[in-house]
Amino acid sequence: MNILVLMKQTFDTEEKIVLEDGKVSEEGVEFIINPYDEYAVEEAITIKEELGGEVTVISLGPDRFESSIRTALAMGADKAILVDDPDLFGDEYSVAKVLAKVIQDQSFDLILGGYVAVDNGSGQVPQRVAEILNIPFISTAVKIEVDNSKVTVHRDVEGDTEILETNLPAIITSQQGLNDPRYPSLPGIMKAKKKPLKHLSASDLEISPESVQAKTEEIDIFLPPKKEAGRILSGELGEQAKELIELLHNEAKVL
Amino acid sequence: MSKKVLVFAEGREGRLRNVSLEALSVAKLVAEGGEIAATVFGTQSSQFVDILAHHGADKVYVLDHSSLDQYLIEIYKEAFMQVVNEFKPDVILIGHTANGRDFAPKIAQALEVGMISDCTAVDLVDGKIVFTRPIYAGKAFVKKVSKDDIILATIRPNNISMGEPDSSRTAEMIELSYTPSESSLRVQIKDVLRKASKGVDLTEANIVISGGRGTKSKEGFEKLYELAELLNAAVGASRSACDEGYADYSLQVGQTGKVVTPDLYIALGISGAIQHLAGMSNSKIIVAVNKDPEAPIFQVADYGIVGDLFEVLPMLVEEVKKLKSESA
Amino acid sequence: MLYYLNFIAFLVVTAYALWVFYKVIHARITYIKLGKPEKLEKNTKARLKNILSLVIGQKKLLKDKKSGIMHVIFFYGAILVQAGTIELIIKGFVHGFELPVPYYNFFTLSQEILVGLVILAVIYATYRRYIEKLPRLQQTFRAGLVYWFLGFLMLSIVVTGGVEMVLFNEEPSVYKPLSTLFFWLFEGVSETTAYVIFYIGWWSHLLIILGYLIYLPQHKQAHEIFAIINSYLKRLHSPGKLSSIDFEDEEQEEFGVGKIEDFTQKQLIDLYACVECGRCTSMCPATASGKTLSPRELIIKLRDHLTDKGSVIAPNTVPWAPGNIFKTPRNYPIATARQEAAVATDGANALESNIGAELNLIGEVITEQEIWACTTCRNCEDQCPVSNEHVQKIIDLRRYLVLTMGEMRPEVTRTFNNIERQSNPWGINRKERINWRDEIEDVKVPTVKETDEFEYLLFVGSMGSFDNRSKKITQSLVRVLSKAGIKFAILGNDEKNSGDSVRRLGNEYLYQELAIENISNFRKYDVKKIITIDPHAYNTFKNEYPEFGLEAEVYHHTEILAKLIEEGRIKPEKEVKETITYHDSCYLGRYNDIYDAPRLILNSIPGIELKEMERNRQDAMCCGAGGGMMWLEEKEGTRINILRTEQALSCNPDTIATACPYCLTMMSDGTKAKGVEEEVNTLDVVELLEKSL
Repeated sequence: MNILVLMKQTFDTEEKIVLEDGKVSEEGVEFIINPYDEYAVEEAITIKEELGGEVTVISLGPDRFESSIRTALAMGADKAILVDDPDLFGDEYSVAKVLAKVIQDQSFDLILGGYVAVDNGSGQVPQRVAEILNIPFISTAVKIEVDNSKVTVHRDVEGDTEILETNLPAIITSQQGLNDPRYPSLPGIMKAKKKPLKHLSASDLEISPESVQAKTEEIDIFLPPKKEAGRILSGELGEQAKELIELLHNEAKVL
Repeated sequence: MSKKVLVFAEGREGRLRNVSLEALSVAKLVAEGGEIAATVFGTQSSQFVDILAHHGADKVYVLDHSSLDQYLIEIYKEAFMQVVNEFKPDVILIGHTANGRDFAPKIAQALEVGMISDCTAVDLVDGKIVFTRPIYAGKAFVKKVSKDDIILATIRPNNISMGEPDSSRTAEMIELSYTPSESSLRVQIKDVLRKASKGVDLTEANIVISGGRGTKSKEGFEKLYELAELLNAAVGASRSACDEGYADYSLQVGQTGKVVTPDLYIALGISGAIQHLAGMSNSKIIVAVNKDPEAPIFQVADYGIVGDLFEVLPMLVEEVKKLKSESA
Repeated sequence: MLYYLNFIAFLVVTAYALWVFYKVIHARITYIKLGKPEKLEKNTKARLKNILSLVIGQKKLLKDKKSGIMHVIFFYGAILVQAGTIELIIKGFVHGFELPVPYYNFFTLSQEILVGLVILAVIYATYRRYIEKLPRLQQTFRAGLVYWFLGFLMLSIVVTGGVEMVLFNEEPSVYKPLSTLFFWLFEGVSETTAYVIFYIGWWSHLLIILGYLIYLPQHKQAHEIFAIINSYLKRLHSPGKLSSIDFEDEEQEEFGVGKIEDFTQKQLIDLYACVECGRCTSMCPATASGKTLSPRELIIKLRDHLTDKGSVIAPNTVPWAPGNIFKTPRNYPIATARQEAAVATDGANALESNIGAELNLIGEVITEQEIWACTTCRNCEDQCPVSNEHVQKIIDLRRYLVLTMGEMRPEVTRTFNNIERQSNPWGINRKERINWRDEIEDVKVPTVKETDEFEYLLFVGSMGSFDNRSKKITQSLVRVLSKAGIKFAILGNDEKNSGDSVRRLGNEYLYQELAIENISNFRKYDVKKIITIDPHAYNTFKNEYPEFGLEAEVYHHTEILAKLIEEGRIKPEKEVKETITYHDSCYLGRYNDIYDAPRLILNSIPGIELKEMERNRQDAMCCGAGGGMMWLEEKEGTRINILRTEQALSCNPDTIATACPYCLTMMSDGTKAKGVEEEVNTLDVVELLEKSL
C-alpha cells in the first residue's frame, strides 16, 4: 500500500496575525503541520504499519516547509517531495496542477490530505487534484478502512455520518476526529534526518510556470476590527435572552 | 457589463437552505441586469422554484432525478456541469455548505478556472467583483478577484443578507433529465447514520453548548439538549461537570478533553478555569451564562448574561424558536 | 563413633548449605550485574553516615514506632545472639563448652534476655501481620515464614540450655531464666534421653540457621544483605534531581528503560533490597485513590521479572535451590494468566516454563496505566527503610515510552506540543505571557530589559503567568515584595516553561532544550538570584539546572518572605482571625525540606490559628498534580485532590493554605467538588500574608 500525503505547513493556530506591508508577517511565527494534514499523515502511517508499503509526503511551498516535513518523516513517513520553486507558487489552481504533476510520477494506491488548511481555509486542492487525476474523492473522513483494493470511509456531514465505499486509488481528506496524531519518537526524529527529501523545481517537473499561473488575485488583506471586550448584557433576564439571540443572529452572524 | 449568473440552490430535509437565497442576493448584485438562473437537484426540488423566483431567479433548472436525492460528489459535479453547459454562466455561486464546499472545487477544476471559497462579502468595485473571505480562521480577511472568464465562488452561510422576496416574480422552470454516468458512480454510499438526537460530534460541530458545575445534576445537564437540538449543536461539558457525573467524559472540553473551535460556543454554568479555556478559547463567538459576575469565563466571552442558567435556558429556547419561525 | 558421625554430618550439611547459599546469592548478584553500570558520587564519609543512621540507627524503620522497635529487636537480637549460637555449635562437640568471656554469668543472662525479647517480638510481629492485619502487610504464610525460623531458633537455644543444666546437674539459676524453665521440664529424665533431647535441639538449631541461610537470598529476607548495600550506595544528591540523558552520544538508539536490563545496577539492587513491608504503598496517593499503581507491587514485579529473565540471560545461574522449594509464586498477574493458558494447551510441562522471562517489561510486567499514575510525590521513597528509589524508575519507563516509542496518551502529546510551540501547557500564545502585568495597577514590574537594577529575577512560571487564579498569587507577591523594597524584574515574554512537567512526563529532550534556553536567558541578563512561586520550577532550577550550567541562587517565595519577616522588613500587623491548615507541597517539602518557612509566615500573622493535618510535613499527601499529572485526565479510581481536600477539611479550617499554584488549583477544585468553596477559602501563603499588611 503506497500512500501519498498532501501536506502543508501553517501557522500555529495560536499565532496572532500581524500585517506588514500589506502582507501577513511571518516574523517570529511558530509553524506547524496543518492540523488536518497531520491527521492525514497519522492515518497514512497507521495504514502503512498495518498493511506495509510506503508513505510519501508531498508539499508545495517555501523552504521553511522542510521543518514540518521532517516532523512528518519523524512520525513515520518514509520519504518526501517538496516543490519549493517560487515560480510555481500561486493559488489553489496552481498548487493542484503542480501536485498532480508530481503525483503522476509516483506509484500510489491512496492519497490522503487534510480537508482544509487552517491558514487559507479554502479547501480546494484535494478535489482539484482528484479531478485532474480522474480518481474517486471522499472528503471529511472520520474513519478509514482499507480492504485490499477497496476503501470504506465514514464521512462527517454536518453531524450525520455517511458510509462510503470506493475502489483504490482514491483521494480521501481527513476531518478532526479521524485519529490522534502521534508525537515523534527520538529515534524517529534521528531517522528522519536521513530519510530522502527531494526538492523539485519547475524544470525538474517540466512545467512551464505560465501554465500554472494563479487564476485569482489577492488585492487586499486586512484585519478585522479589534474584538471588542465582551459585552455583559443587562436588563430583565427575558430581555437579555432576546437581545442575545438577536446579537448572535445579526451581529455575530453565527445563528 | 451584465453577467449571466448561476446559483446552486440546495435543499436539506425538505427545506431550501437560506444560503441559496443569500447567494441569489449576491447574484442580483453581480449580474448587473444579466440573467440569473438557479438550479435545484432531486425529486422534491420543483417545490423551490417559486421561492427562488421571488428571490431573483429568472430561470430555474430542475434536475428531478432520484439519484440526486442523496448527495454524492461525482454525481453532483456531473449534474451541475450539465447545467453549466446548458446555461453557460459568467458567474457561478454555490453555498459554502458541507456539500457545496465539497463539489465546488471539482467544478472549478473541470472548468479550469479559479475559485474563491467561503466568501463573507461580495462587492462591485469599478465593475469588478471583489470577494471578501476570512483567512487564519477569521483572524484576517482577504479581498480577491478572479482573472477568469467564468467566476466561481462559494458563499458562507448567514453572512450576506438574503434581501426582500418579491412574490410577484416568476421564473422559467427548465427540467433537465439526468442519468448518472458510470464513472460518477465510482463512490458508493452504503449507509447514512443520521445523527442520534444527542449525536452531533463535538469536534466537528459549528455550535457547541457546554454545561459546567452550574448544571448541578445529571437532570440539570440534560436540559442543555433541547437548545442543542434546536441549534443542531453538539453538547460539551467542563471537567467538573464530568467529575460530578453530570455528563460523560466523552463530552469533556478542555486541556485534558477535546479541543473545539466552533463558530459559537455557549458556556452555561462554567466558571472558566484555564483547563477549560484551553479547549475552547479559539471559538469564534463565546457566550457565557453564569451566576457569578466575577467568573473568569466572562473575560473571554463576547456576550455574557449574569444569571441562573436554569432561568435563562428556557428563555433562549423560546427566542431561538421564534427566530427559526421568522426565517422559515 | 557417634561423635565422629555427628561431626561428619555437621561438616557435610554445613558445606552443602554454604554451597547452596553461594549459588543463590551468586545468581542474584549476576542478575544485578546485567544492569547498566552507574557512576556513583564518591563520598565515603557521607555513605558511611547513611549506614550509621539507616542501618545502625534504623532511622527510617522507627518512623513507624511499633514496627520499628520490633525490628530493632530482631536486628540487634539476631546479631548478638550469634555469640550464643557459636557457643552452642561448639557445645555439640565439646560438652559443657563455655565461651571464654569475663562475667560469664552476665553473658548468659544477656543471651537469655535477647532470646526472650526476640520471642516476644516474633509473637508481636505475628500479631501485627495476622491478627491486627495491618493493611500494608501481606497475610500469606510465606510472608511470615521468617517468624517461624526465628521463633524456633530461639526455642532451640533455651531448650538445649535447659537440657544441658540437667546433664551437668546444675541448679536453677537467675542468670539462665528461660533455660531454667526447660530445666524444670526435663528434670529427672535419664542421661541418654537428655543427650537425645540435647542433640535434637542442637540439630534443630543448626538446621534452622543453615536453612535460613539458604532461604534468605531467595526471599524478601535478602534485604538483610541488599538493604545494607543499598544504604551505602543510595544517592547522595538531592532527591529532586533526576538523572539526565546525554543526547550528544549518537550511539544511543534507545532512551529510558524498555527492558529490565536497561536499569542501572544500583536500581536493580533496590529490587532485592525490598522487604515488602508496604510502607511505600500505604502512603502512595495513587494507591490510596484506587489506581493500579502500588510502589511495592512495582518493585516486587520488577524483582521477580529480573530473576525470571536473569535466569534465561545467564543460564548457568541457579536462582532457586534446592529444587524449587523456596521459589516464590510470580507476583505479576499477567504471568500467572499466561502460565495457566500454557498449562491448558501444553499440559503440566508448561508449569516449568519461564513465562516471566518472555514478558515485555512495559505493557506486561508493568502496565502503562501504572506508569502514568505516579505523581512523583516521593512519599514512597521517604518511607522506604531500605532506601529504594521509585520515582527515577517510573521516569525511566516514561522516557522509554515517550522518547523511544513515541507512545503516550493524547493529553500528553498535546501538552508537549503546546510547550514546544508556545512554551506553556495550554498552547496560549507565548506573547501573552507578560499580560498578567497589565492587570496590576499600583506596582510597576519591569522586565530585565527595562531595568538593570534588580536583585531578584522573578520567574513567574506558566501557571503564574497564564492561569487566572495563579496570576493573583503572582500579583500578590509582587505587591508584597515591592512593599518590602525588594528590587526585582521579570523575563517577560522571553521566559520559557521551566520544563518540570515535561521532564517528569518523560520528555527529557524537550526538557533540556527548555533548560538550556532559560539558563542562557538568566546568563544574558546576569541573573544572580531567582525567586519563584512555583515549587516545581524551584526544584528543577535549584537541583537540576546546575547540571546544565545554572549558577544562580534559587529561592521559593516563602523562603524570601520568611526571611523578610524575620528581618523585620515586613510586619504583619492586621489581624486575620482564621483557622488555617497548611498543605505541604511535595516539591517544597519532601523534595527540598522546606517545611518551616511557610509555617513561620503563617504563625507571624496575628489572629491565625494554624491546625496541622494528620498527614503533614514529610508525611503530607500529594495534591495529585505532580509529575505532570496536572495535565493528564485522572480517570482511574477517585481523584487524589478530593482525598487530600477531605483530609484538610477534617481540620475544620476557614482557609486551606498552600505554597504552590498546582496545589492551590487542586485544593480549590477539591473544595468545589465537596461543595464547600463558599465556606472554605483556598489561598497561597503570600495572599494570606498580604491580608495582614
